[in-house]
Amino acid sequence: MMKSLILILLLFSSFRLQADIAVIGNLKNELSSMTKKEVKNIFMGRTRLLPNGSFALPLDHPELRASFYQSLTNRSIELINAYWARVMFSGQASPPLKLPNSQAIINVVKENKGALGYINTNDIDENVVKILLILK
Amino acid sequence: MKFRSVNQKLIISVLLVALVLAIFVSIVSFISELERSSSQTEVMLNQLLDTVEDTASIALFSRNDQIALDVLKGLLKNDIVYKAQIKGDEGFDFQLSKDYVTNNIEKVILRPLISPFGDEELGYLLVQPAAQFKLIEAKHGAITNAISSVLIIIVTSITIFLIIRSNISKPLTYVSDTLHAIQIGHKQRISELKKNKNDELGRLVLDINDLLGVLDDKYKNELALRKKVESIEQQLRSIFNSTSAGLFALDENGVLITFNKTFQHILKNVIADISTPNSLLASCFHEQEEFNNLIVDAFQSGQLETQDFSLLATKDAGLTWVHCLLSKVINESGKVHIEGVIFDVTERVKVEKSITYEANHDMLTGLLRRQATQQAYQQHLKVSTNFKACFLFLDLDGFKEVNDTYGHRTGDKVLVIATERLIDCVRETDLVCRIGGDEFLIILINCSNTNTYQIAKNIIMSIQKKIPISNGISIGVSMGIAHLTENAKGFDELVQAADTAMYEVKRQGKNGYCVSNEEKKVHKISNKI
Repeated sequence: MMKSLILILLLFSSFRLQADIAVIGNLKNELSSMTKKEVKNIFMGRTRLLPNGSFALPLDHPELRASFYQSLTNRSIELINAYWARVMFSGQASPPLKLPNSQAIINVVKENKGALGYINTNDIDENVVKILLILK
Repeated sequence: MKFRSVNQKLIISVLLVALVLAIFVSIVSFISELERSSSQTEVMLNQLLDTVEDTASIALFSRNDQIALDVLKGLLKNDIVYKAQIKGDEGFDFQLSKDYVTNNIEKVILRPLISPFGDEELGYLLVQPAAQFKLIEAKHGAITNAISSVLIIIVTSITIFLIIRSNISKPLTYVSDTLHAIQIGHKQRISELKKNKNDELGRLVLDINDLLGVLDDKYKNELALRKKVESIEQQLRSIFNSTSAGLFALDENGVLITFNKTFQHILKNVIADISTPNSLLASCFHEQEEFNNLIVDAFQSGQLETQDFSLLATKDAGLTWVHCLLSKVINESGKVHIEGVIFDVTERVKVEKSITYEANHDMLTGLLRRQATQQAYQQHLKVSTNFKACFLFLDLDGFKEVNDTYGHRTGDKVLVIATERLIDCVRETDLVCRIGGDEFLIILINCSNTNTYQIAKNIIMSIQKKIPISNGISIGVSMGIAHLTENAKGFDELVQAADTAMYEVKRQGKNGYCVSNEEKKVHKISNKI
């Protein structure tokens, strides 16, 4: 009985850990937070500029990608891929840069003022990066 | 009016109706096709928009002009699209159109474009249809429809025409032509229609044949009747013209209406041109008044009236007598006229006249006989008042001796000469009569006494003149005179008185006269004195 209770708690806590994705930015970024729409426009290639006018550098996370776009656009990853395939074919735009893991994203965000990435909230050290939006 | 056959009219009517129907159907189908193609165009355009909508919204979302142009190019590849446009915010606006064709359609179809990753509206996609396409589509549809409907109409028309022609107009034409050619009185009939045996046309043919039969019979009967009437008329006309009687008809005024040849022949000497029957028949007779009276009598009595009339002859001297019969006739229409018959009775009248003459006159001398003289005297007595007459009774002296000496023939000659002398001595109005043998009676009408005695003397002297027969014969005359008085008027009475006075002369020596009331005084007359 005790065991099963612990298991449920664990499951619950692990779900919580997995579900929360945060959009992070450089500490020097002047923005304190971003709206879902602003994030979407940058990540879907509609704009290359941050709302304050500085260049944006969106970064994709290999494992979190599907759930990130799902919660951001409410579309499946296949649709997102198809979209990018069409846009890329025109040669006028390209999807966000794909990085191998969370650490690599954190490193790039730490180094670039306009970089935007998304990682699990558990992996965030707020001394290193700034949380701009949390997707639930 | 020009003759036009039913068939001709049928063809023209059917063709006209078919033509009108075909035109009507074509117009209606063109209009409906135009509408249909219009709505079809809209549907097609919407389908096109459905196809490119996603791509267009991607182009708009990503502000990708390349994709937008691809979409627009793709749309313009369709005939149906004239112009296409993609418009978003921040000056994102692309449009393409077929500028090489004119387009007069203002209508556009606008599709709002929704972001592929959200619900917000990013802009719109617009297309304008090509008018040319719509028209071509409509034309195509309309022509297809028109051809098929015209075909159906033509086939139906021809079928109906053929059915009507074979069932109605052709047999009708046959019946009409045959009937037109049939002449009354011929045996020809319309032969039975095999196809229309049991319909109205078949019945019509039967009825026409029946009627022709009836007409034929009537025609034959009428022909026979007419021939009969003609022959009767011929006979009557022949009788009318060849009869010895002159036949005629008069109207109520006595004017000639009609007459036959004999009538014309009888009156040929009276009326020069009788062929203008407008003349009064009465004017042909001496007895005009009497003829008019006869007409009045005939009208009043309603019976046959007859009388003899003499004709006023213009050329021939001879008198023509006709016997005339008149009777009133009322014809069918109620008009009254006179029908008359005249016979030439000249010969009969002549005989009658001569008989009468012989009865009244002495054959030898031609003098009146006693009976006739008496009648004439009494006629005078009857008609005139204050009538005077003087009776001279004569007896020839010495006549017996002449008869005895020279014979009766000479005696007769002497009588004739004596008669001539008597007539020479009296006036025309006086009556001279042979009583018999050598006795004569002379009645002087309205003669004065002086004249009477002078005439008496003249007679006696005249008779005594020598008669130039043989060596000359002399005779004398004794005369008694009797005057008509209030007391003595009778013929016989006066004759008797004169006779008595005459005997006094005989007794006293002959050749003189004695007046009845003068007491036997004899006035001797001698031509020797």
